Amino acid sequence: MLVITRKHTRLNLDDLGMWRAMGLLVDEIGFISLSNSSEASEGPPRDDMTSNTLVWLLCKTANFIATNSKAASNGDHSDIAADEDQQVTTWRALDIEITAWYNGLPDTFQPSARITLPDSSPPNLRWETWYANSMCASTMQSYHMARMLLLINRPAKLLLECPPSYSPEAAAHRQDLLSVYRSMQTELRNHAIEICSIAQGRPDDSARVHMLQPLYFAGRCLTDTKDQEVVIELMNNIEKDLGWATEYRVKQLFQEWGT
Amino acid sequence: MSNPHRVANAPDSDGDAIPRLQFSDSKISGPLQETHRRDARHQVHLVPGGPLGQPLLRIHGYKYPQRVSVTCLDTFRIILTSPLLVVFVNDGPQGEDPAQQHHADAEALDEPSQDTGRRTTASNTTTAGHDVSLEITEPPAVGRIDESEIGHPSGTSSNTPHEIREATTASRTDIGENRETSFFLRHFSETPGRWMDLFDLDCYYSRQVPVLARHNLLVKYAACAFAAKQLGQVHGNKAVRGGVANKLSGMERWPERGAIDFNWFGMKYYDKSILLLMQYISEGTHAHRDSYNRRYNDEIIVAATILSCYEFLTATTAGWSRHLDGTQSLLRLTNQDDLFQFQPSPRPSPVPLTPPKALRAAFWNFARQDFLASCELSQATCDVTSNR
Repeated sequence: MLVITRKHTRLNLDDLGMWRAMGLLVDEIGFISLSNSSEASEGPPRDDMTSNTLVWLLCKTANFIATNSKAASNGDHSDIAADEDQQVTTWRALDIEITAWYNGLPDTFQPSARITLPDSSPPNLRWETWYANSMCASTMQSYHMARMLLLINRPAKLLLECPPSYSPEAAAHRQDLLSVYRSMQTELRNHAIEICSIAQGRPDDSARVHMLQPLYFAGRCLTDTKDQEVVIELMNNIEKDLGWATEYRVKQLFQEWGT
Repeated sequence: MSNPHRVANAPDSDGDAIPRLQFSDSKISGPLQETHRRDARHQVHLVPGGPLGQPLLRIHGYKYPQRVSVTCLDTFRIILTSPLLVVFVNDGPQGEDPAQQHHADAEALDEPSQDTGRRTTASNTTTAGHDVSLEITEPPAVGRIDESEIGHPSGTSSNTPHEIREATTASRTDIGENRETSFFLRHFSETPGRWMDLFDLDCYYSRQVPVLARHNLLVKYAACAFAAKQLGQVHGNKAVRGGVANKLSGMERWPERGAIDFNWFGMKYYDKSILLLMQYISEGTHAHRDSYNRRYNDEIIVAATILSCYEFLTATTAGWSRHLDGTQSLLRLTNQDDLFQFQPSPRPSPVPLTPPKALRAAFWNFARQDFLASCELSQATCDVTSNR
């Protein structure tokens, strides 16, 4: 039997007083509010707090994953239905919160430049994206990673349902497992492409040391060998250039790809 | 099973004789095993911090950067438990209860002679065929932090200097610590500090840490440790910051030519920082509490986050649990009094409290590491299970 234990974050994510004191952009009940700063000083919230707010959401996502895996490995079937309902509720809430965060983003989080690479490039990773502010570049990579984490950990009960963030057209489609599988793969790949295109734009070194995890999850979702080579090269170069350990993630990717 | 080769008796006239380990001034130098590279350098620090306040030993070496855990058997004998089982004689007064017996390997010891004079040689066979000889040339001197440089003497170093056994690095380099720390501090500010600042518009680590370092040794050594380790990982390949220039300043360049073992410097400053951190923590029990009811000041937390980054820098799947444990123990130490859990003082405060910038910067750095730790550990655990 597989025992998968996952770890909760050490910080208490429900202590809104603490997080808001640190500048988290949420209102009193904990809903994302990028337009209103909780600071005493008025004015639009600072970009760094917008980024930091995503960290809080990522932590919540990590805890959601940790709780799920714990429930799955417990083997206690008594209140599975209740657990499932709780999962669905939490997942939906996370989905809505991350969407709210994304919709509230200011223009600084939009790419400053984007080019298409020549045809000889790998099939999917054919773009370079550059942000004038590398904090924003890195934040957007984390955003796409958050989306991927949510998709990968979507509760089974929700598989055939469309989450509220989906477009109405998609919702109108009749869903079966095959279509779910395809749309999930497409979505994951699109997020992976976004992450890699920012990486291929060669942001500065501080953004590069923070992109390891997004690149890793992007790599997991890319199936084409040439795409995978690009991801590996990006990861290897981080360690080569900056000394930031990436090799263990490279190995995990090779293991997962079976290469 | 053990190699009968006795290092201690290797004739000096033989050009291939394995140099003996020299125990001198809290420092052991010399190869730890026969196959060692000749240019390998080792240094052993005696630092307080064992489970019962015994000295801990660390071996610094080109090939063996691992920290070595040590059990102090009594005032005269210390056993290193891993990765090499080394038995050596320490004639320095440790002031600990001689009755403390914590290790089952006691039988491996030859009872050392009590005349622990200036030159006592002991030779002991160790595990895995590693013969190690330790020559005690003089009792471990009581070291102290050399703060002959800029700024005011830190309160941290002046409190209990006798607890700090500081190994000199004179044999290693003669460029002087001021030159060293200037180089590393600047590199910290220009490279790894900027990594920590990516999500902070105030750039606390790259801009404020050098300022803090003027009076806070802990912060200074932590920054130097991270900077040196980072340079070590890229073999000293240092980017030039601040654009194109015809001439670099002196402090941007390492004065020595050739391959510099920056990792060694990283460990050196890491050790110094950990020492100071432990001092802070042990002294913090009775320290006053601030308006957040917190016991430790923000500068310690800033240093702790830098030190966790130092650990994260080379995190590998195999080494993860150890790194996490290290980080977590740091966190637990700082967390035990609700480090980040705000309990505003009972009396109503007239204005809403705004945490200082240092705490904010450290907090968000920690939050990121917290997420990473959760994320990493999940994966590592999955890998273990999938291999079954």
